[in-house]
Amino acid sequence: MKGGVPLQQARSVKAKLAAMLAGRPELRGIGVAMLEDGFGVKVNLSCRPADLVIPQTLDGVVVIIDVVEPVRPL
Amino acid sequence: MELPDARKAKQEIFASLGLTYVRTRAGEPRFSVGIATAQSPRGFRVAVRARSNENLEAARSQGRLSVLERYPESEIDLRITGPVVARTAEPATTPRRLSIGASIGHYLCTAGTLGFFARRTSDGALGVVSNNHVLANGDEGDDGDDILHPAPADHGLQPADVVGHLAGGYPRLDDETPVVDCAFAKLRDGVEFDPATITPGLLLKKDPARLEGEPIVLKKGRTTGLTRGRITAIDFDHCDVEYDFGIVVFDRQIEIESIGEGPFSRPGDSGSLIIDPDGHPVGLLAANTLDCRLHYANPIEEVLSALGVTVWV
Repeated sequence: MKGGVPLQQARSVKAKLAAMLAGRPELRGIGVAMLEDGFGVKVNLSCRPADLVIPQTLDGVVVIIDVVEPVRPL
Repeated sequence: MELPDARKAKQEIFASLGLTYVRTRAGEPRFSVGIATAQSPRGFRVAVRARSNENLEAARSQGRLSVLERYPESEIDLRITGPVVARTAEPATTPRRLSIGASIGHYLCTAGTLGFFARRTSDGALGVVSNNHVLANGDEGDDGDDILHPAPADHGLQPADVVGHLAGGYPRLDDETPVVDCAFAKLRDGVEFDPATITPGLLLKKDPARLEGEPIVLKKGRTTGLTRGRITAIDFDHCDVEYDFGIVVFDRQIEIESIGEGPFSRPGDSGSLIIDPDGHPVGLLAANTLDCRLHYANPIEEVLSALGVTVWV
């Protein structure tokens, strides 16, 4: 995927989104997404409830939302 | 199930199958019952072995298998073995040589993967690095505990297969903000090893990888062997991992997605070293999603720092 920004810009938006999502039980992780030409933000959720609105871009940074299964040690 | 529960279930099944500890007479069902390891790092099941389909059906028609219905399917490992015969000794094999990707584990663990060889900075001790839940049985291991190769689930036994001893100062999972699931075990004197070879054409490098673009990574694990993946995220926080003893929330993880035909990792690959295509270390594999789509690793710099070791090649 393209549309990446510099690392520091992605980290800043990640922190902003993490604050927005703090306390949401659906959150399964948030990180800096590695895109073909730079960085974005990746948000993992257990499900997507109707009251949870996450923008596809925030401050010009691509936000990838992924619904994922539980994580277990191998 | 826990080992004491598995032992109790084993006794119950043993009795219900009509087995005795004396010689089986002709015409009686031929079964064996034991303890099997489960996929969970600390879980156990009951192993039930029938010699033939006929044995199984005969026992079923006599109602002897109804005892198995008292347990969930996941707790019983039922197999047909075919005849079991005594054999004369096979020729001795060449001595084992420890290497990256080998089966390894704490003597009370099931199985994990040897990530890499390392030298401890404080005293120069040479050892191996894998996950805490592989080498230290999830915070339960004590200094000096036996480490086996192959791991117990791969039939490693004490004392013949002891290749090292746990170093007790490993970072605990029961920490407020854990970043690593790792431990170091000092190698036993005389153990032969190859610290560098990942595949015949790919050698491990000492310096960590520089990650750019959408990085392709590799790992060599005990269960799935050499596989490829792609890093999808770094600095991954609030990563909930569901251990047997509870949920541990990790920060600063690396997320990897599977590419290619099979999954990047499966149970038993824990502790695998993740490298870039040139052999530079990236991280230590620790967890994945239940569907094996996404995989999580501790950053290699954090692992080396937490254990006070350097990569040995």
